[in-house]
Amino acid sequence: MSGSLAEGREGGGCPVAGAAVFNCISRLLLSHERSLNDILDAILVEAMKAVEADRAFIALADFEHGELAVRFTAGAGWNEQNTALRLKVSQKTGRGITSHVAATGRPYRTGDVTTDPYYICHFDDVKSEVAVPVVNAYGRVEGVINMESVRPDAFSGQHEEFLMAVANLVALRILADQQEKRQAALVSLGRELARFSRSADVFRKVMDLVASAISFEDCSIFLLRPEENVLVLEASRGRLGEKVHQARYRVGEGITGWVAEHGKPVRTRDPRSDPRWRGLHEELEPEAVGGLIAVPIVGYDRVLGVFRVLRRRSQYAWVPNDFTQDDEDFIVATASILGAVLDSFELVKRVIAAERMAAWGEMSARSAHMIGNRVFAIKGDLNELRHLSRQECSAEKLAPVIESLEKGVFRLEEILAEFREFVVATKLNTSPVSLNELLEEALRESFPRNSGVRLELDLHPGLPPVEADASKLRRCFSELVENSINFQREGGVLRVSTEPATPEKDRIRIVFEDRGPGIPEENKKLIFRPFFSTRSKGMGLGLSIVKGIIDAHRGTIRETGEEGQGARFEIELPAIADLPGAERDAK
Amino acid sequence: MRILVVDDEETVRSAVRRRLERDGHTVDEAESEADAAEKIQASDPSYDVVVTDMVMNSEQGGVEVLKSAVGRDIFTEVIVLTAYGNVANAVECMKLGAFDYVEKNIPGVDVYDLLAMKVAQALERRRTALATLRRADQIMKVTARAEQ
Repeated sequence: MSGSLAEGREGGGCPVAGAAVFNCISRLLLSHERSLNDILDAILVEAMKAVEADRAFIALADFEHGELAVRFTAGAGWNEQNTALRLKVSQKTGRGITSHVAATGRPYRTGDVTTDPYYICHFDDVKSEVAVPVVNAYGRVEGVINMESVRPDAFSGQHEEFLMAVANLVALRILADQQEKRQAALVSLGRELARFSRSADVFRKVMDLVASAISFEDCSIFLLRPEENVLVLEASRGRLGEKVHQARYRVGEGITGWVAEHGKPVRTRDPRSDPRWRGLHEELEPEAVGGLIAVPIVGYDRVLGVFRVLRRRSQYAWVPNDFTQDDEDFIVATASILGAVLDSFELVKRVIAAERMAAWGEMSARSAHMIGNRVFAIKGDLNELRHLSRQECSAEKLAPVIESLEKGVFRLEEILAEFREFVVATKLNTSPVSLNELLEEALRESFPRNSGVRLELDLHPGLPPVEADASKLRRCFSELVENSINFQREGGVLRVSTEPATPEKDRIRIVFEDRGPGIPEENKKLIFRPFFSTRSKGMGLGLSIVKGIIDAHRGTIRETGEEGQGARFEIELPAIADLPGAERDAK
Repeated sequence: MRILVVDDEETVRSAVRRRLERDGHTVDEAESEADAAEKIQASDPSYDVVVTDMVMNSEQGGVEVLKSAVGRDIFTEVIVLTAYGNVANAVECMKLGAFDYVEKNIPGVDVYDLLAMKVAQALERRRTALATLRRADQIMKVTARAEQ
């Protein structure tokens, strides 16, 4: 019996070999290189050796479904079939030593299984058995460690105590693992959310990350529409997904409305018993809810919405699966990151709007001036017409005046068209778009056949799609083509290329490069401002419209060429993140 | 009479020219401040009246043309055309000695006839000024002879 715990039985005090086993097990638990699964596997083997059992397993509670599943096994005779069978039987009957331990939260030991009231036979050779619960910090059973022997009376009280100590260590490791997962999820949220450009992507990412760190049946995000004082469902993983943009709560209505009104979280295991509960829009049948957390999504100066997580009630009394304070703290932290991201979206929108407003001021002064000039010219033609009408005059005399009038009116219309484009530049109607296809299309339409300028295309294959307004982007590309052609009247080269702007392919770079005169350093900052033009056509809004469109796509545009070498416009647009099939071009 | 019309828009220049030619004037055109300066410098005799836009390449284009014109002939009259929002600049020109300014867009007013009238008035002032100058010259000559 040397090397086993049994030595301690006679010796009294702390068994030396037992201490060695503990050292081994605690080292395993501390190991950072190994996954939780590896560690539990190894611990089970060590513990089985220490108590001289012939067979062992660890079953863990699945809080999502309210089940107890055999996850790790050691010893002879295990196969997929009996692992699954054991689970089913113990669930169905409510009998079985494992279920009994899980239900009571107390260890159980039998020296003779043939007379035991709880024992269910799976291995013919088993004579004795001991099982201990893995109980977490909230007093909940996380799982059961089970040891079996072919000898009768194989397990002593000391064996049981040893296994209880191992179970407590396992509970600690599970807790540490869970905390680690949550921490990783929060870090990843903070780091990754900034690169998203659409709130729908953000919601999906948040729900994915939360799902990776906490088990739940369903979760939903409601956003507040302050002008109507209602919460509207923006995203949901489960059956509420069909009611996105439709499911609503007035602020103050139901638990969700209460959270928005008071800016405080609610955690309950039975929403129906809560006086605030209305049961308007539910992810689960009300009687199936085993836990609910609803927390406010708080922005800079107000509540932006409510984040709600639900867990299904366990069918088994011995698996209490409502949410804990830890769960709530995690959801609160997630919601506050979400709040910060939504705030930043709002800020970007406001910055773009402020820039446009500033442009508008200059725009109205400038356009009044330009329209005034055109009208003045038209009035001159009218004056001439009146003069001619007072005398006998020939058609030849009238013709140039009428022609001039037409030209004047046409130029007025030209200004109006540009004006309109400037106004609508930031109003987008988006869908997933393949930039490569769009570029090819735009170039086919706008690149003149006989310009003397050679077109070089270098499109990177397999780019992820972008969420874009195709017609607006086409307009941008055409403007850049037109610009380049205009500045290379004597012929030249226009090179258009695409590539991922980052290794993660979350941004795409498009470059328009030519061999024209380029942009003088002092003009680089001015070219995107309205009315800056070295050409006479229109109002000089071309590049400011391009910038407006790119800004509205949450992209950037810069001119990075060198004067004398040619112009080089670099556009960067955010790609659609994590879209299934994002590796391929969008169709 | 010789008139120079300065504006960066071809349609505006030709409309103004046409109207002033109708009154029997000889009209030249310039498309920028620099072009105007060149033509004014080369003119002989000098222009009687210069009609200039206020804002061209520079916000102060009209002032530059005014300076060129009076630099060549102190009695050349300058009329400034202003679009929306340039009245302050035009008043500045008046202080520097411009004859008058005309707003391009006055609702319901035929600004071309108004401009033609201003040109007539400017020519009248130039004639009066030149006549006064000639009289003063004569008086000085007579006085000088009497003193001999």
